[in-house]
Amino acid sequence: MGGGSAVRQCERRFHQGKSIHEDNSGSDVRCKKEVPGTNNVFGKYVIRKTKKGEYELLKGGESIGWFSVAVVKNDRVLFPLSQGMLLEVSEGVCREILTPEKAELCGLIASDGGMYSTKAHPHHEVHFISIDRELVDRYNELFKKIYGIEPHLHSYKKRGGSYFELRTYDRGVYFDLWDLGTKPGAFQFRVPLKHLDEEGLRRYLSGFFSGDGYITKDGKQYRIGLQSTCKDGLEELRKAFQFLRFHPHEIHFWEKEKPRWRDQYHFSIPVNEHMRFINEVSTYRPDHLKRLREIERQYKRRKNRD
Amino acid sequence: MNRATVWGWGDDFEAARTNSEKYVSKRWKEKTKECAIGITAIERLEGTSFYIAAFTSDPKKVGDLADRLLDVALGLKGDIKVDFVTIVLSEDMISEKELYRDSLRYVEEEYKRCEKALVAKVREDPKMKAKVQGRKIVVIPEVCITCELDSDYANKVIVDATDTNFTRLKNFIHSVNERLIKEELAKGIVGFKLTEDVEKLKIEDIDVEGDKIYMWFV
Repeated sequence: MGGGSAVRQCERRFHQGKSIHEDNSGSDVRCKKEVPGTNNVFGKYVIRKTKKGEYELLKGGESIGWFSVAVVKNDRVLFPLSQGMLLEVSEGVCREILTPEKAELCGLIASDGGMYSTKAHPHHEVHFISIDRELVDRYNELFKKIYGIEPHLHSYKKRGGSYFELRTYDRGVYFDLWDLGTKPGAFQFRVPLKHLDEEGLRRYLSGFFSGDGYITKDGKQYRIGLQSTCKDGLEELRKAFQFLRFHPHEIHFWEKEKPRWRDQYHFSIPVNEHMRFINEVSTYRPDHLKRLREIERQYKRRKNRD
Repeated sequence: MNRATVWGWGDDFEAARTNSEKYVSKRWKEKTKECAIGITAIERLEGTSFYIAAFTSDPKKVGDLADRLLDVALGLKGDIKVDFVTIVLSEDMISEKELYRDSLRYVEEEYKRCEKALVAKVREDPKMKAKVQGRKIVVIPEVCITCELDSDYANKVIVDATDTNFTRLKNFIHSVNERLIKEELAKGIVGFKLTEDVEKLKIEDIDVEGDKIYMWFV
């Protein structure tokens, strides 16, 4: 039972399915160089170049998979898989990680997107809503690149507010995102920390910040922060910043005594890490970008003065 | 007290009305005296968190109020994200306890008092002494303004917003009130209340620029 689907799954993941070729045809800026020798040892793992020019991954002498592309980056090797995933092999560790593009897409969905597969919405819906056309275009671009599907675009007005909405109804996409824990429940999100390398963390945060980030201006001073109604998700975002060696402030709760309210949480990035935030995380939202440029200008002015 | 979230970001906009009506038709009992329909939202450029609530004792108005309050919130200037529409059914007249009757001038004076108290708190703090010496202290506290509005359509409407910039906060509350009055959900402003707690507010971040030291309090 299930043998056929397991084989297909294995082929899709490890034996270069259609999407892998699509991935390979694109420019992968993260790839530094191909494995040069015929045998490379990474802890328990051995990568052997076959006569056909493929790369075979072995563990304890047993073959795990074949790949047409293998890229070395510092002390690890990355093998492109399907649907925006990479197999990362380093000293004793082998894990599936998200490509930077998929990490960003997951960040966007976690903030302004949603996933439905309920009695009322039985069609494995994945959606993204925004008032910014730029953000919608970015989501569309990432989605097409990762899944090869173009989401349906709807634009509408709701008394004074204009919204763009992108929707897909694809079982495969839905469960791929579900498995990563992107949206585990109603009004919840989780950061797939186990599946993110440093670049993935940065891009995930950038995606999330483009939706649920804020940059307040108090006089000439700025405050960069992230807010959410999902405290668990926000705690993981904080951890993600810490993994990147940021020092985010504690999560603060907009405390309300009345039971009618739902809770909102937020945390901010210290002022002395704003420039690092701009360089490493940033955003796709035009109004955010404008403010980040102002912060950058202010920083340069101060630096010149000092 | 029964509470339910009848709408969340990403749901069809029409669902706020239909879900509210469904919920009320099932849960409104003889003992139920009042319903509070609440909007939990944020203006995302500035990070102004806000709530709008309307109270009614007429179950037939609940769906309409949920829909119209959602429209008011979404129609505000800026990048508004409405997180939830929530409904609370109560066996008490909960709106009667919602009294915010200070004048705006009093609220402004209260804010100034809060600023002064925070500056004094910083000056008295031995850990901060070296840092603040010879510098002008600029405090940026996160505060909340609640506004009570009377209404012909509902029993009462409450607006509540939190921000670190007092002027922006006042302007924001004003824009929400204006919209509520224009949409005939509210008739006029009854009063305000500033919520801040100097004792509870703690320094979150510090920025020194020349002879000024900026301090954010949350």
